[in-house]
Amino acid sequence: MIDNKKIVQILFVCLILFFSVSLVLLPWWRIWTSKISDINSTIRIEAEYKLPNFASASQINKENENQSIYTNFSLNELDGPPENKDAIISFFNYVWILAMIGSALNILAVILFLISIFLKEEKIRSLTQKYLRYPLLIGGLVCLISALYFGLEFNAFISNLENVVPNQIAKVPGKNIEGFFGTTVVNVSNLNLEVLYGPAAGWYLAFGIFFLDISLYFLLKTKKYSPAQSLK
Amino acid sequence: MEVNKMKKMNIAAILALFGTLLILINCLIVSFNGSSIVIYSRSISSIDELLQGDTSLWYRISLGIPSFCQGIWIAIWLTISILNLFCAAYMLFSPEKVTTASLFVIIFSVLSLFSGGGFIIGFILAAVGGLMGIQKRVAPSETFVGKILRAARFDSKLFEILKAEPRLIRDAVSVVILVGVLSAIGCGLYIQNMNRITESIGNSPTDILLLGNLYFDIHSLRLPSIWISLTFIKWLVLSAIIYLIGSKLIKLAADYDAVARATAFAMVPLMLQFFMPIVFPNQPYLTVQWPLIVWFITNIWAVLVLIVATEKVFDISLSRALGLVLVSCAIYWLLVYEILLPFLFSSSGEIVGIYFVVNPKELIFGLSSLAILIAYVLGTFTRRG
Repeated sequence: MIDNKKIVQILFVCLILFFSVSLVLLPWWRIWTSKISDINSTIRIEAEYKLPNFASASQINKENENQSIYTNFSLNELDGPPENKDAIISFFNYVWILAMIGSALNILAVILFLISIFLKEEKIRSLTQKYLRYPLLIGGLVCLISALYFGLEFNAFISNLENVVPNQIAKVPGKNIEGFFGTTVVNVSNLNLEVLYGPAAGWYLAFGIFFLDISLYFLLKTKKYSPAQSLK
Repeated sequence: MEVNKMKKMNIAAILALFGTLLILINCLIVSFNGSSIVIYSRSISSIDELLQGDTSLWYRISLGIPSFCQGIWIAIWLTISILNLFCAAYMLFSPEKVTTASLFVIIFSVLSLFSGGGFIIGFILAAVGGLMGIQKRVAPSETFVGKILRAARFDSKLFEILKAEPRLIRDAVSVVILVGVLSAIGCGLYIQNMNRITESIGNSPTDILLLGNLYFDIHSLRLPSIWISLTFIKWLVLSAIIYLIGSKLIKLAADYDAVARATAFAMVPLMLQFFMPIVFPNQPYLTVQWPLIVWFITNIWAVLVLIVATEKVFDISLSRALGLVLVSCAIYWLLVYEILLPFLFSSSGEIVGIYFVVNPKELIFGLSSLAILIAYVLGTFTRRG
C-alpha cells in the first residue's frame, strides 16, 4: 500500500519526466499572427524553432486552403550572411547540449527515484533517495541556465538575419525582432499583419523544471511527521 | 484526537493538491498556446456583427486575462503554479507548518486567476483547501469555508448549530462582508466592461469581446467599497423582517441574532456573482439577459437556502418556512429596492450595481399579494399552542 506522500512524490516525478522529455521535443521560440490580425485578415502565418536546428513555418490562407504553404526548414536555409547563420546555429547547438544534459540528469533522477520505491531494504532506499537529489538539483539548474542563456542571447543572433522565416512564407527582417518577445508588423500579400514573437512551450518547460526539481528536493528532504512529534 | 487532526489535514491538503494541479495544467495549456484560454460559442467575422447585427446568442468564455498571458508573464505564472503545487504538497508533508503553506496556497491561487485559475475549478478547490488548512485545529466541516460549503448545499444541521451558538455571529458577519466584496467585484467589473462595450470606448469592444480582455482600474474598487455597507444593511433589514413576522407576528421562538446568523449564511450563493465577468455575450444579451441569469440563479439559490435556514431557526415545517420566506422577501423587495435604495441614491440619480426595475409598480404589489396568499394557504400564519 503506497501512502499519500509517496503518491505526491510520484506525481512530482511524473511531472519532471514530462517536462524533461517535452522540453527537448517542443519548440523554444515562435512567431505567430496576433489574434486581432487573425480575425481581420484571411492570412495567418506561424513559425516555430526547435532545438538543435529544426524549424517549421506555415502561411495559412483561410479562404483557399490550396494556397496555404507549410514548410520545414533549418536555420542555414534562411536569408543572411553565412557567418551570422553559423553563429545562430552554434548558439542553438550550445543551448541544445545544455538542455540535453539537464534533461538527461532529470531522467536519471527519475529512474533512481523509481528504483528506490521498489527497494525493500530501508538503508539502500534512503541512500538512493539521498543521491538522487544531486542529479535532480544539477539537472534543474542546467535547464534553468539553458533557458536563461537562450532568452538573454537569442535576440543578438536572430537580429543579424535578413529574414527569420523562409521567403515563401513572409519577409520578417531580423532587425525588426527587438527582443526575446514582442510585436512587429509584417506585410504578407499586401496585408499588414501584426505578428507576435516570443518563447514557446519548450522554453517555458526548461524554465519551470528547475522549480519542480527544487520542490521535489525539499519534499524528499522533509522529515517524516509523526503525531508523537507534534505532541511534544 | 491526533488521528482526526491528521485526517483533517489530509482532506485540506488533498483538495489543495487537486486544485493546484488543475492550476498547473491550465498554465501548461497557456504556455503551449502562448495566450490565455478564450472559448467562443461560434466564430464571427467582425465586431460589428456582435454589437448591431446578428441577434442570435454569441458568447465568449475567457479564462484569465490575455494581456497578462504573454511573454515573460507566462513564465511567472508557471513558476507560481509549481510553487503552489509544492505548498499544497507541503501541507501534506509537514502538518506542523500547515498554516504558512495554506496561506501561500491561497495567495498563489488568487494570483492564478490571471492565467485562468485552473479552469476556475482549480482556484476554488485550492482556495477551499487553503482556507481549511489555516484553521488547522478544526474539523473540515466546522471551518469557516466548510460552513460556507455546507450552507450552499442546504445542510440543515448547520442552521441548527447557528441557532444554538451565539459566538458564530463573527462568522456570520464575515460571510456578509465576503458576499459584499465578491459580488461587488464581479458585478463591478462586469458593469465597467459592459459600459466600455456599449459606449465603444477605444478598442474596448474588440478587446473585451474578441480577445477576452478585462479592463480594471482604481474605479473597479468603487463598488466593493460601497457594497460592503449596502450588503450589511440589506442583511440587517432581511433578518429584521423575517424576525418580526416569525417571532412577533406568528410568535415562533427565535431570537433576532439567531435569525441574523442564519440569514447571513443563506446569502452564500451570492458569492458566485464574482465569476460573472468570465462570460460576455453579444447585444442584447450583454446588458439584460446575462446579468439577469446570474442574478436569478444566485438569488433563487439564496432563497432556497433561506427556506431551509428559516425552517431550522423557527423549528417549523418546510411549507410554513416557504411561506414565511416568500412574505419576507416580498416586503424586503418593496422596502429595499423601492424605498431605501432610491432614497439613499436620490442625490446621485442612480443606484450602484446590478438591479432590476419592475414595471408597472402594480406588478410588484400584485406579486407581493400573491406571496401573502401562498403563505396563508401554506399555513404560515397559523399559531400553535
